[in-house]
Amino acid sequence: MTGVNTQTFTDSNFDAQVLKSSKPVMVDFWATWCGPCVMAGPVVDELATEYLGKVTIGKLDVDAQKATAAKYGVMSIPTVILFKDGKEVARKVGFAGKPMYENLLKQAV
Amino acid sequence: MKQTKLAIVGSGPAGYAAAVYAARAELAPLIFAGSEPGGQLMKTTEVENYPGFPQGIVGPQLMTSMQEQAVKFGSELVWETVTKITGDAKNGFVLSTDGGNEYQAEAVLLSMGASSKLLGVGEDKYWGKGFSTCAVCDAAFYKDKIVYVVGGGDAAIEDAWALTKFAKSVTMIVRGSEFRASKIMQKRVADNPDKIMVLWQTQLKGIRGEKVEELVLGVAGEEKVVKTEGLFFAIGHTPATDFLKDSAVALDEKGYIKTGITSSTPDTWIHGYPTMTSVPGIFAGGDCVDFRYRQAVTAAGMGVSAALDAEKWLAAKTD
Repeated sequence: MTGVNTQTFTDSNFDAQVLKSSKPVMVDFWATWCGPCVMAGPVVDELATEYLGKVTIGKLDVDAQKATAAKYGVMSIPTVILFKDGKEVARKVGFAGKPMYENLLKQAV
Repeated sequence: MKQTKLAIVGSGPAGYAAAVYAARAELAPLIFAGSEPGGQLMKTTEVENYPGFPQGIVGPQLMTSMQEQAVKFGSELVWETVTKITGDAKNGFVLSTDGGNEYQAEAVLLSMGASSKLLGVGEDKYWGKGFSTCAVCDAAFYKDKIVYVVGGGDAAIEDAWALTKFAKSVTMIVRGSEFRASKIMQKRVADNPDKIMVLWQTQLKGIRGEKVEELVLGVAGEEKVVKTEGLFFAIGHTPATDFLKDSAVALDEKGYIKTGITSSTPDTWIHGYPTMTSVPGIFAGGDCVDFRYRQAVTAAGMGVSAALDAEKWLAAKTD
């Protein structure tokens, strides 16, 4: 289901792949039962390809990776969080089309 | 500037059904998905009254199927929201989007549907912090928590019901002294008093906390504060036509788009285009027009009517 350039983040790889990443990282918190998340999926995949090399983009399944979702207080999905140097710099809740993500990503590049 | 014969604004049942017809008529429509792609059904669970699915179908699945069907016949999806429409039938229309792009279209089909109503009691700053209008999406985050649902219709009861599977307690805040919901849904509450509590004749006045922590309720002229961890709204919908207020497309006093369907003359139906708006070349269907029936299947039907009218109008224009 996930695009070739879209990463899969987990509780165990989050520290290494997101927080310690040298590039900005956009994390899409999602779940299989969330309709808007599923519809947003291909758009996130598209962005992962468009921003390849500039921003790392990946998904985190909140059902399977509960600890990370809880740590960042995710209470509504889809939620995307942009991380830079291990810190949250921006967050968006809901799926409102591609420009929503692009506006978020502008803060990274 | 990207060009199309037909621009379809909105991606709910009306937009996708219109796109299936328009695409099969080889109009290669562009569908502007909008700020809530898939529309209201994305926030539901089981849809039991859409013809053709005797076992029921999950709302988001129905919408992704409609999307697939629209794309299969040659529609193209644009994941942007239209913010402005200018132009006319003679010179063509220009649609501007929140992505900063412009698109040119010979005809436009408006099917933006309706969005969840808000109360304006400060809920805006609590999105994703304990406030939601999609219980079905977010119920699982409220495991063993205390939650409140505002509203007294079918959607409110459906939301409350979805929350009972996770939350420690679910309380509905209802303005009147009875539900507006259908009998079958009311029975669900009446049969489960241990699961869903109801506060009648109560209004939400305010929200307190860094995230949702306390609610200020108005009961019989008095204010009462309750502790909570989650707040859900299901208080109806308002047509998503704000961006048309300064356009030539005529709206009624509540913001619904006027077409020949809602203000028809026999002539419109025999010779004209019943789904055409006050602007020739712009058609409309679904919940942004229909203040009465508001069902997925009626929206789909109205979308198709508008697509057929647009197709006929485009053909007449070329002749």
